[in-house]
Amino acid sequence: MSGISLEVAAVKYKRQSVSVVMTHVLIALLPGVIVYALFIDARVIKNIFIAVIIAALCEAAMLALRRRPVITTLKDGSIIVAAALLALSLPQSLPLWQLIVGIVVMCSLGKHVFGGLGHNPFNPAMVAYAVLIISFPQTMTQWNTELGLLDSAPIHWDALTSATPLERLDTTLQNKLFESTNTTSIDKELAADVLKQSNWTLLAFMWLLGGVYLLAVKVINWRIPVSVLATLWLAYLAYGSLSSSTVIPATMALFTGAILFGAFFIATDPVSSATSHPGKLFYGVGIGLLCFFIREFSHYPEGFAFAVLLMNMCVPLIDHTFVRNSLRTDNAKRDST
Amino acid sequence: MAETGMSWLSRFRSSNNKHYAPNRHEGFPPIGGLALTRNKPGLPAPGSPIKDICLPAQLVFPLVDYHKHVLTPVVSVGDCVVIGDWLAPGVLTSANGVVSAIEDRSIIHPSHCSALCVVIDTCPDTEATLAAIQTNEVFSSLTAHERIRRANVSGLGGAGFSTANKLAAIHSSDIKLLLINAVECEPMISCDEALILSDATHIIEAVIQMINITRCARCVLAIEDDKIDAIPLLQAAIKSSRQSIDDAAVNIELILLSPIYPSGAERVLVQRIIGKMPSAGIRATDQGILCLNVATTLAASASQHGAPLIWRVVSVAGSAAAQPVNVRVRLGTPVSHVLEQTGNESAINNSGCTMRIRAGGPLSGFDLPNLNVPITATTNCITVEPAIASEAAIDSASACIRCSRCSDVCPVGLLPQQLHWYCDKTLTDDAMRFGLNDCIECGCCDVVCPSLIQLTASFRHNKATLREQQLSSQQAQISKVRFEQREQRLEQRALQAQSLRRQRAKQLQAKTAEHDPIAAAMARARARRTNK
Repeated sequence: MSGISLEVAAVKYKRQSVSVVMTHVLIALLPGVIVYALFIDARVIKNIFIAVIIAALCEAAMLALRRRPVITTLKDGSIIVAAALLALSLPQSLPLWQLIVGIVVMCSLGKHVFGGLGHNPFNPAMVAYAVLIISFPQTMTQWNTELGLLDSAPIHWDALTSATPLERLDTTLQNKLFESTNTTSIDKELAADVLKQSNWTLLAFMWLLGGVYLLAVKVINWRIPVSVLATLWLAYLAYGSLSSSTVIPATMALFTGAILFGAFFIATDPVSSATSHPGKLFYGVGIGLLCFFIREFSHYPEGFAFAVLLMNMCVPLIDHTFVRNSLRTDNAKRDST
Repeated sequence: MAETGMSWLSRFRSSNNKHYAPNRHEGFPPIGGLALTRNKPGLPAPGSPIKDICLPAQLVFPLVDYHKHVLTPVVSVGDCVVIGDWLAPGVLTSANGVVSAIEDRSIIHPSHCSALCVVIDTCPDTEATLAAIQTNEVFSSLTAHERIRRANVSGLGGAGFSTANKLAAIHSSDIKLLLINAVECEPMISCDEALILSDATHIIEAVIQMINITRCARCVLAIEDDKIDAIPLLQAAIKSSRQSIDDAAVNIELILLSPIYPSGAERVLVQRIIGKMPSAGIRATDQGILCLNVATTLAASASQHGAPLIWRVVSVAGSAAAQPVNVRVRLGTPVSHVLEQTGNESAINNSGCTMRIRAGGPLSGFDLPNLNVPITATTNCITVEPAIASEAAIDSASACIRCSRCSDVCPVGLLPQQLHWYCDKTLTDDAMRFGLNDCIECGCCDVVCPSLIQLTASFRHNKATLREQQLSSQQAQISKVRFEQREQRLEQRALQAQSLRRQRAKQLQAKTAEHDPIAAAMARARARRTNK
């Protein structure tokens, strides 16, 4: 076999190139970013901007070091998406130098040590997040929110210095527990009240909207987000009915913290997630369960990053296990004969 | 039965196509594939015959089968051959002439390789040649299956398997389903549709003849529902055949499929008709399904009257083709002759610089090394495309981001992203486990890949390499066994010789023990002495 022909003519078919895929992700992030900037913290725009610039420079340096084409690779836009996702997962009050550390970790340890785009076993943004939260726990858990652009006077506590919104909710619930004996009904009311007041819920809805857009333009597959959310919902439902202590209602739990953002934008990273259809479901369920356990039974208020990283480790095994059914049956047959 | 697997989508489609037939059936939805816009230039008007191309001065017949196994020629240079003579086992001459050379020539193959070919200088045919075969006494005593083998009928769709071998693979009593394949979803390729348009009655007659030969339980004629000119012709032909033959056993089910590429591939078609994809490594024939292309059916039917397979219909199309057309071409005709006769002289002159000549359609096809390559039974289409900067296309391929669009469109349910990973790392065992050999090389994954990776070419290459490795390891195994047998034989022979020697020595010893010549001599001497 010599000189195999490496061409198959293009057919008139609307192909989504990598850059188009990445553009769709950026469009899907847009409503969330707008709400974030308007109602929660205007610094997010600045942080995203800085993150993207630094990431592009870092990526260019890495590519140059690895002697790969710089401009054509930068054009695919994957680094812009990764930088934006990282900037959105971090607290906006994070010192600039720590943000830069995160970006450099994302580019180098998250991506290029493994061989660049398509070869990283871990989600680069989550690698950076994990490094930051372990290295700088104090700044990483202080959600020091400034005013959003459209916020009125600092009457309610969105404008106050606080821990993560999720931690705040937990604390509020527990405070209430001391005051009242009839817990469940009041807690639900309170939680609903808290969430209604909170602009974070609006933000979560925006992430959901972005996720639905990604599903509509077929950039992501429904299996991972649906299995993540369904698992978390069921886990909170079961936990709420089993334990006597205060637990936020299952449906509301999905709108807290980074769950919707993570389920649609982080867990669906194609490179580091499972690839077969049953594998995707398995991967999503794993993330959901791990996230639930880390949130409820560990010191970390938000477990999404660790859940994603732990499941990233399982991906080769999942992909090895879930070969399509037709092939498996035949392999079994071949083994038996 | 077919209705149970209908998706809501196909149900919606069927409501749009009510004008077709009262007893219309729909197949099962495919598990992958692409919905491509219909683009079939060069179809003849319904009822008008397909144009024949004149006989070229030279015909070339590659002496290889589909797996590149080299065949041994049974003719030598200077021999006179007439239509239907064997040139090698599995290769017939398609014209009268003289063998002028047996040499290496380039052939239509994705690897651009060359192969041993028989070159024939043609002389004008006489109708008498064909008539002579038909009245041949030997021929008239042959069974239907033997006639198909004698006529060298092979698949005119894609793979080019010998039809006689396909028939031999199933016991004729076990044929559950005769599946006539009129599905041609790839853009540009329209040779089967052209055959139906030009002579639908003949095709239905051929199908009925095949039903009688195979004595199958069920016969399905599958066609896409967007061939709106061909379907009424087939329906009318089936109706009139029912009236004229009045045979309850002959019942051709016409199944209209949504035109999803590549429904014409055998595995995919079987899945769309019976609802289940044959497991990996299992052929349709193993399940009692005989799948024949319409052109093959026609050739098999013609073989019953003694006509060998000497021509096929070839679509000449493509965005740079001067005149898209379907023509009947002798097997062995050089591509340049076909282009010349169809008014594409400019393509010949500009081939390689501004135009690319390809065999097969835009998805499953490949570029030709030069224009002297001969048409074979599997060449369904010649496309003339404007040249693209192919190097640029390869350069722009970026890394796989495992988006799984390819596995969503794979019509046989593979995971091309995983296959790509393993093929890239030459982990052939893993690639095999993920079904590399089940890849039908349809090219769907190439079309959707956001990173512009040439997946099919890589799979094709790896499959071929694997096949070669297997072949050489097989041969090594055979040589090893042969060597071991020889060693054993030699050893045995040595042992035998040794035991024989021992036996003789023993015999000699026994003999000497009986009457020792020395002792006898001494006794004689002693006797002599005492006598003195």
